[in-house]
Amino acid sequence: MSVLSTSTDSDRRALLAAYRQEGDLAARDQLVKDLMPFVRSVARRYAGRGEQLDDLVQVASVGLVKAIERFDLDRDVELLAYVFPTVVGELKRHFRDRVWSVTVPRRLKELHYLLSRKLDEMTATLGRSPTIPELAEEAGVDEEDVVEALEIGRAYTTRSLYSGIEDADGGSLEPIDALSGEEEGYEATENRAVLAAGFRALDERERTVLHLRFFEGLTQTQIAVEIGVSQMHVSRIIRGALAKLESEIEEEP
Amino acid sequence: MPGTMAPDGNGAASLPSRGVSAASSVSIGLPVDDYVGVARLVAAGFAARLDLRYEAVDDLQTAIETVLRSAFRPGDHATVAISSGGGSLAVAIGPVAPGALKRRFHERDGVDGMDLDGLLGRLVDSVTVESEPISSIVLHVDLAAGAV
Repeated sequence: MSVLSTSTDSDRRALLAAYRQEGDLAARDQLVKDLMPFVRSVARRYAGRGEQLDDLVQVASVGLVKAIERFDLDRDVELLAYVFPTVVGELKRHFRDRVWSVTVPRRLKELHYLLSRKLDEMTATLGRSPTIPELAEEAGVDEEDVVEALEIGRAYTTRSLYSGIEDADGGSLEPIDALSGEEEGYEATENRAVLAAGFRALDERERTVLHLRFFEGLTQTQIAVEIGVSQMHVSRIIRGALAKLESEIEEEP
Repeated sequence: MPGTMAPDGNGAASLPSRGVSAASSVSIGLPVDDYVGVARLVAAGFAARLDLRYEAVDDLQTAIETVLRSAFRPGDHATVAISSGGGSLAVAIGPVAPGALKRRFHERDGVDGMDLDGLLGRLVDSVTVESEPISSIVLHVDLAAGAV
């Protein structure tokens, strides 16, 4: 089955032109929707390297948004021909930038990747997050190994998905915001964030996750589903955001 | 030695068997600067034996880390005492000077519940402040809710 819709390059260019020239956000969203199956197929090529497919799709989506923002409509090139290398570039950068901040034994890295996947699979199957003994049994390792491998995940750092994209007017654009209108419900988060001194230090995704966890009372699992990343990724975001928040408040007079 | 770990009272190093509700405890003393990860590991190891779900373990670890980073100053030593019994898991973290405790725990400049009290209340089932044997912040996890 083709990952491309029936839209032609002319159709896509018309949508992009409507967005660029008239600020038609619906046209941009339609263009994103039209190209997402293709973007997902590119992301799938990079699966199996220790990353969750959902996370890769999100990264690839950032590439798509960049392509939409940067494509030169005056060039005699198909939009898709520009989207592909931009998305691939984003995925490659993602793997380059995801680094272990300390030296971690290969055995633990691999176990960490395995557990991250098992955690989401078992959560979906069981309808709750598994216990550490259940994870250990599933992975065929000791409970202590699971505890160690989960903890070692804290040494895994990622580049923010919210960095460095400019919109057509040269302003700052948040990729996730650009992908859909689903984030509109989080406006309250931003309003609160303005009020809370420490929140200013957080990026949009961190504010969203903290809002969902601490104001809406969602669990990590629920947040993972809501924003389309793994549960372990949600955990990392929460820890990082709280540390940043604490550090920010600490610095205030 | 920066971190010291002691099994409960009688010196036995064993942790409670899975599913056994008899009271057991482990305590560890550590400098708050560089050993937060050790406290997290010990808490996870203890909680694993009580069949707590991963999410509850992770939240508990985050709560412990938050208290250690928030209620102590660089250079401080903290005691983290983890115990189970009566259907709950308790983690007492101290000593925290009463004045500092009041300032940093109850009167922080949070907004809409985003103070330390509000954060911890979302991560564990309840939070209390105890004065005996040392002034401590105590995190409580209800095993019936957090375990399988």
